[in-house]
Amino acid sequence: MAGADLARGAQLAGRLSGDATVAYASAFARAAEAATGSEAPPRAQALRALMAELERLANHLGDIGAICNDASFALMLAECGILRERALRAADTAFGHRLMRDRILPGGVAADLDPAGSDAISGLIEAIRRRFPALIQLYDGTASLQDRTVGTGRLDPALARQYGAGGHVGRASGRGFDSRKSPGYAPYDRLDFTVPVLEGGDVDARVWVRIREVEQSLGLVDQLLKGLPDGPVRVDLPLAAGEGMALAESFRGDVLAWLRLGPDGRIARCHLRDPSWFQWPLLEAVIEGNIIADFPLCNKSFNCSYSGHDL
Amino acid sequence: MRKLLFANLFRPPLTEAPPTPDDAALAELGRALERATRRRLGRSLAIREVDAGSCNGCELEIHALSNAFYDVERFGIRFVASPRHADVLMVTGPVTKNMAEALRRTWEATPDPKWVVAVGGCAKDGGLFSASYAVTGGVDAVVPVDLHIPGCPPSPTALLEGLLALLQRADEGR
Repeated sequence: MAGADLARGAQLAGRLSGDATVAYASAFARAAEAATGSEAPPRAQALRALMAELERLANHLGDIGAICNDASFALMLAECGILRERALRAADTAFGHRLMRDRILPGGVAADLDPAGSDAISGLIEAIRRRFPALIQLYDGTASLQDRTVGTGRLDPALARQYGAGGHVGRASGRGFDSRKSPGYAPYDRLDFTVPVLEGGDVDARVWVRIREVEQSLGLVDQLLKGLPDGPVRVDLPLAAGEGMALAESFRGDVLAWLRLGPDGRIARCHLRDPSWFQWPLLEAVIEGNIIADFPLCNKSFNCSYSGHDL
Repeated sequence: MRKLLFANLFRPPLTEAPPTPDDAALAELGRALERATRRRLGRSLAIREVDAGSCNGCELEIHALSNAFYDVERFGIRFVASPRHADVLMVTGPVTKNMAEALRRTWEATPDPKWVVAVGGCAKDGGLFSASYAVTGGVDAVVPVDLHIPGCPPSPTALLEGLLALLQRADEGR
């Protein structure tokens, strides 16, 4: 990363953890903008948020299915897998890449959203709204599945606080931190959404946080599509020395990007911090006293990143 | 649950028609299978996935192969939990120095006949990470590669095209 220009830096940042490529690219881009004293145009900021919420939807849907699958409940994996695939396809139509990789650049976004893309996203939201309630009911109403998730892998709220765990890990154990609210960043300051917080701390609570976040993301996508500002989607950043930092809320928690630019505008130093740093150590605490067969459930309900952590 | 299962019985299947095997992959495989097997594999491939330092993007798309749209098991392709059970090693990532030995040992643990499929830009030559001090620079720096599926990450359709090409050649190579 050191010595690279911002374009290459953004590509590398987007490849730290593939499932959070939008969040990383967005944190990196905003850090670069802070370092150069510039700002992405309003439309670009809205499109970034749209991508971020699509990424959150796809990952949460995949996780909800995969957690249930670790309790051998394959129907949920199949059903959630369908919705996840639909989300990736909508992202592909709207932004030209299933995972939306390299779509966010310092200064803005790589391409504008056209009406066909906007329709694809609306169609996706409609499909999830139609299908998801039955799946929530399925999760909530299957006693044999609940038997595996309720009370399993409980994370003490005091530990979640002590480690500063973000994302569903923190929020299922009473820690309501969400970088979209605090410190907050555009365009989320203008959008209406709540951050679900539960106290249970078990696998079940982490599933429910995801379910509630899926619902919130659907609302956010609606608002973003309706209120999409007009105008350019990218500005050029000046080549200047500077230092900048930004947080972006990925599906698994807050991603931090810090960088220092040299006088030639190239990256002198950069640090990218994955939310998993504060979650992996807690997984060890959570599995204590649980049977071995429940390890996959605990692990998947955390879903920490290997690559994001092991830089 | 019963209601959902019952409703699904009457919905048309989501599974899509398979793509045709990738031509470029077929050409690449021509070389590989000269030294390949005369043993019958049948139309079946057991794949062991090895993450040799990928960003997990490739893994997401490999996982997607099992969803209702691609349903890779209908081709007799399945993922196994040990290289001892595998015909194919599917390797992702630029092969970090920390993973090089593990990859070599995994390859040695895989019984013959075996194929190595390198998935994604990183696995080809290190990709964006090729200049890094921490990577060996691609799968073929460590084990012989039979097929490369490009993309960052390759879409499930691209993965399927490559795997079907492998199956077709394995059939012809008997």
